[in-house]
Amino acid sequence: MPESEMTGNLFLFTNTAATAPAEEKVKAEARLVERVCEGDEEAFNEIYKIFAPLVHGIVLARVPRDEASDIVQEVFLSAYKNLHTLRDKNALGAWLAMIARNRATEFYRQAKPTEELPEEIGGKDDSKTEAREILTAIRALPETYKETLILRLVEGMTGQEIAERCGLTPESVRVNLHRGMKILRRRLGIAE
Amino acid sequence: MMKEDYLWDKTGAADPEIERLEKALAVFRYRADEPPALPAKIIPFERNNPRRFFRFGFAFAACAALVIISLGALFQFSGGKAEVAKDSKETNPSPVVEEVADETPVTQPNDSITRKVETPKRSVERSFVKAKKSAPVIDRQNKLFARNVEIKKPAVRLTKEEKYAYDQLMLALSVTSSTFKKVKNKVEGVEDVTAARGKSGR
Repeated sequence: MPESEMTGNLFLFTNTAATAPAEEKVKAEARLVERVCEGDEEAFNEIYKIFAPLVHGIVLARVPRDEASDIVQEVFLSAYKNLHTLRDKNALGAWLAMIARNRATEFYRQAKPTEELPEEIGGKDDSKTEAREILTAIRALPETYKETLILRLVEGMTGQEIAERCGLTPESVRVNLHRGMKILRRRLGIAE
Repeated sequence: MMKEDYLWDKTGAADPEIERLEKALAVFRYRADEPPALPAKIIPFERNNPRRFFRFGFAFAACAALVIISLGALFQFSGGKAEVAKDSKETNPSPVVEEVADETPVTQPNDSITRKVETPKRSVERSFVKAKKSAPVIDRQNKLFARNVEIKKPAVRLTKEEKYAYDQLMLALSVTSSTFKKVKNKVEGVEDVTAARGKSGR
């Protein structure tokens, strides 16, 4: 089956009933942004709880695991400082995702060249080794696929959640998931 | 179809391979921790801006100038009226005119300075004499011209209201000047002289 046809079929899965709650969620996020702008720190904590997995996933797709949590903190700190510059308060997720991508790029620009220690140095753990291999394979995928797959497989978000928080359409997320998974299976030698 | 559903929203029959990947990658999942410590908000400290002093000072000076100009204009008009009155009285001599004539400063042949005429002083006459004191020095040769000038300059006879206004103006000017001095000292950071003296005295 050609990919184009598959994509057409995948669009049929779009859940139209889910759009109304999604809009409500977006409005709730906009209210949170307004509250933060008024100086409510509790609202910022709520934003952090909602969007931290998203930001972590995006960062993890680009930088070493050990650095990811630090960069997540930096992203949120930067967001807090510049939240008043956010024009469309309904696009908070997309805005945070953009900051996360920029921070990850900046990390490689600023980072001094380092050499990673061999993985066997801390004792051999088969499960971790497998996890690292899978993560490396996902990171080698094209940009759009690797982000969506990490958010789905590592952070455990559903396709709908990914679409809502990244400000993407569910259709494009579905396509990215499907195509990314297809390439990943091929690379890991998993039968479809 | 079912497999794709599981990949999309974890519904339907689970794909064992996807489940295996999920389990393996769960070690890298984000573990909720504390949000970053937010920076403290900096509340700008409101300082006494020297420019504000200048602004107020300028406004005050403008008001004072306006008052002075308006009072000057008032005096001018009242002086003109007095002149008219004097002219009309000159045609019909009266005791007041004589009194004014007596009080006119006399220019001595060898002394170019106008002398003060000693007459019994009333409040109105006093102000008249003061006005004459500041009259220009008159040469003997230009006596005729000087006389004319003196004649043209009417004797300012202040009424009670005008005198009151004059006193008020003087008071306002003295207050203005002292305020300006204070503002200037404050802006330049000069210590109050009286305070400094008090300190040194102690």
